[in-house]
Amino acid sequence: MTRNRAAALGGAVIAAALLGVLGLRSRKVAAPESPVLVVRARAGGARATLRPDADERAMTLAAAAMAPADRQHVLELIDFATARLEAQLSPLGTDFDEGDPVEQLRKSLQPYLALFTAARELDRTAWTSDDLAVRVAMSCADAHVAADETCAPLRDPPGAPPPSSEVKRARFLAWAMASAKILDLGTRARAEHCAPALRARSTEALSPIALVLLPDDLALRPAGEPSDLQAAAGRLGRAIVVSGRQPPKDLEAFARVPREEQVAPWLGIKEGQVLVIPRLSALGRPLPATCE
Amino acid sequence: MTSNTSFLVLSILLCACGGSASNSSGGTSSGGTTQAPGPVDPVRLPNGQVVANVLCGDDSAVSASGTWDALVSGSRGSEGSAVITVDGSNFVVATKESTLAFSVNGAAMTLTWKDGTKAPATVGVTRAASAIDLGVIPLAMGGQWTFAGNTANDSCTASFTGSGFNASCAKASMPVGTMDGALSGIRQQEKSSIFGALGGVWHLTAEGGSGSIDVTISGNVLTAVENRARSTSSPDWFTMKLCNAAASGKTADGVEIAATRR
Repeated sequence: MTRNRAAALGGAVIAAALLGVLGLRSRKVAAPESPVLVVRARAGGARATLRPDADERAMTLAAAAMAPADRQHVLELIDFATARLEAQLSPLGTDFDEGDPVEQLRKSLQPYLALFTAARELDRTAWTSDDLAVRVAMSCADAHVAADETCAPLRDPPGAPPPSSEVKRARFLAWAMASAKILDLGTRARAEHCAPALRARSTEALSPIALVLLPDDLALRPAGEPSDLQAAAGRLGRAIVVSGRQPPKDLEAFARVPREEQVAPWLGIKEGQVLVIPRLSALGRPLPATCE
Repeated sequence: MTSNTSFLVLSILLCACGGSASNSSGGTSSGGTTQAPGPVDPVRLPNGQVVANVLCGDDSAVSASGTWDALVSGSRGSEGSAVITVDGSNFVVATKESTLAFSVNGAAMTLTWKDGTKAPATVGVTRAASAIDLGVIPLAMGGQWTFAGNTANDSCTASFTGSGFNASCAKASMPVGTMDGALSGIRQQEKSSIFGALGGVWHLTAEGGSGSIDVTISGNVLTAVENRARSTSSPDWFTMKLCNAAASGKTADGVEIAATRR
């Protein structure tokens, strides 16, 4: 039974990887002139749902935005957990460490939760609170705003009057987008030079930065073959299933290749620009205005 | 630390759940005046590591009064949200699942708990107040508290003197369930803080518990660290900072919290 489940998971991973490699083309999306939030007052109701492939999209964004040292660290943590699981499963193996390998891995990944959180939030298109429903759109015209909805810019232009309480709250719900900063470096080369520098700073304890992304990262464009991280996560997923545990969706998501499709197209990130997303716990703080 | 626990700690930071009106004299705080944040000392964990600070912008917190929107992250993004209302006579924490409301109307005080679709449970509250400066916190909490249970024999009591507090329930049948046990806290060291007399290092212990919690309130930062008896694992901790119209925090589990005042 466990072998069957392992084979099924392995097959799913391979199929997903093949889909990614074959590359389902993304729809062409024109750059928006003004991203907006559409806000509706409501009393209760259902929560905004996440898309079914939200996990792998977020993990792909997070993996792309990791500094090389962090990425290597995550890879080592995943490999270590896999090795422990495999040692526990083998009659000849011995796991010398204490505690559950998967739980241990989760704990070890805690420093990266801010990154994962920001990646998930950036990919959302709708949010709800008890009394507000909020969605993002390219423009008010594109949004088909209903009579009971308010359309407001995602961010106020300089000199704009203070937003209404409702709009301010909507922006708080959509914090990853509304508080994002776009650095315009002018050229692709400069942007590609800037992003690693900012990513290295994002791991500092007091850094306000969660996520640093380039236009190619937002396109979810698959590499020619599964990355080392995807391969490692695939092995981990198989070991978890063989061990009889429930595969954790978030860890397993590292192994899946999402369909190529633009994330947050309303932000209109162009070549030569770098998108910087703050940590949730640093929303009141300014993000860097330059790469220095 | 769960979302509800995080909201509760955030709420305590914003309000500390007291009443400026009372059935006795005194007890008002100095909420509403501009407070300098004061020095923030790093909090060291038992294993030698230092709790990483959080920053939330303008440190000049004027008051904790107002309506606050709060978000808590989880393993799947921003998973929890709450609305926290604090003013001179109300303290309300409302999440999608539950609402805790404390209100003061003259000498009468009421604590109400509503969980899901269940009928609200109401606890009668009385307080013999004593004046304690709580800085930016708009409600007072000094004095002797009594929380009425379902019968005349069932009640919980609590007291806060500024340098210590005690709370106890002896198998009291309360509208929210049976409460049993005692919790005590003592301020071991004073520190300058926007939270007035709450500033300092507090040592919290529960009756029969194997561990304890040290809470450091310094400047505009609250940090709680769990002391586990006979445990080799890293201690849990929580840190929260109150700024002007914003607050932020995080936990040892990597959970992040943000709040903004409407």
